[in-house]
Amino acid sequence: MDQPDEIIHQPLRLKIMAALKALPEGERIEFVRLKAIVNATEGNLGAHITTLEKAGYVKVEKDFHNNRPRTRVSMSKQGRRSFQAYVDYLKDILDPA
Amino acid sequence: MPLSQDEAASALGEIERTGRHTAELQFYEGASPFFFVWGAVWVFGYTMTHVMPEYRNLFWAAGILAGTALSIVLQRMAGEEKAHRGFSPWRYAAISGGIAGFFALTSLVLKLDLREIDAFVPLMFAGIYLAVGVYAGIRFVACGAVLAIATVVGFFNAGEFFGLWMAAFGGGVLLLTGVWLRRV
Repeated sequence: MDQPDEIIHQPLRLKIMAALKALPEGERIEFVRLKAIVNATEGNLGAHITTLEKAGYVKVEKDFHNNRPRTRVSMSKQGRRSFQAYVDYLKDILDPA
Repeated sequence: MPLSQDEAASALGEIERTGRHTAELQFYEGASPFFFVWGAVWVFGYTMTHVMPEYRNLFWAAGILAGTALSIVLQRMAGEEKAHRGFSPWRYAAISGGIAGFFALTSLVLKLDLREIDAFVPLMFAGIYLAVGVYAGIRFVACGAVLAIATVVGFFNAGEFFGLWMAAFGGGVLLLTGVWLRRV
């Protein structure tokens, strides 16, 4: 990889991906919880989640829980691969050997 | 445009910080319901120890059984939610039985009286929370420290109301920790 993955490299999307990567594979996190963790506004987070979803990096699931709408986000397999490639790219810059 | 070394280091630092923060908060969230359950067990057990001391063992046995059963249900619900995590109710039963057995044997060996047992158990748990907190996060450390202080203060100052003191401050600390662990 000669260039950073621009979808991941944007600062807020980087935080979103880092947060999702910290979860066990397949585990979902509620949108409101993710919003607080990455310290974003609802609209801003929603826009970036949409970008990541279109790229196939995250999965968004909407349902009702205790009669309330709930949105949960998880990292896809493709997202994990791309994020790992991005991390490897960063490490290569720091340690080219 | 390729990134500079500073930019790469900054991005890796952000990934590490966010990942650690997320893992810590998720662990807190997962632990929270168990603090509610066992906080309620402590409030019940210590209150009944004060109100009807002659039946204390019965009440504590009932409370521990109920707490273990509820913990199994909670863990099963969490397992279904996360779908991928294995679950063994026997593991919970074994942990509860092991802890109860440890306290019973230790109390016998040390020849502790009932009041000392009422202080020994929360102090042991305070130590466990402090140890877990070293790895899991500051909120466990705070819970362990406050629980230990409340127990020692009550043991030396609450006199005959030590059971009620522990119901309020021992159980109360666990319940409040449960609330705190839910917060991001």
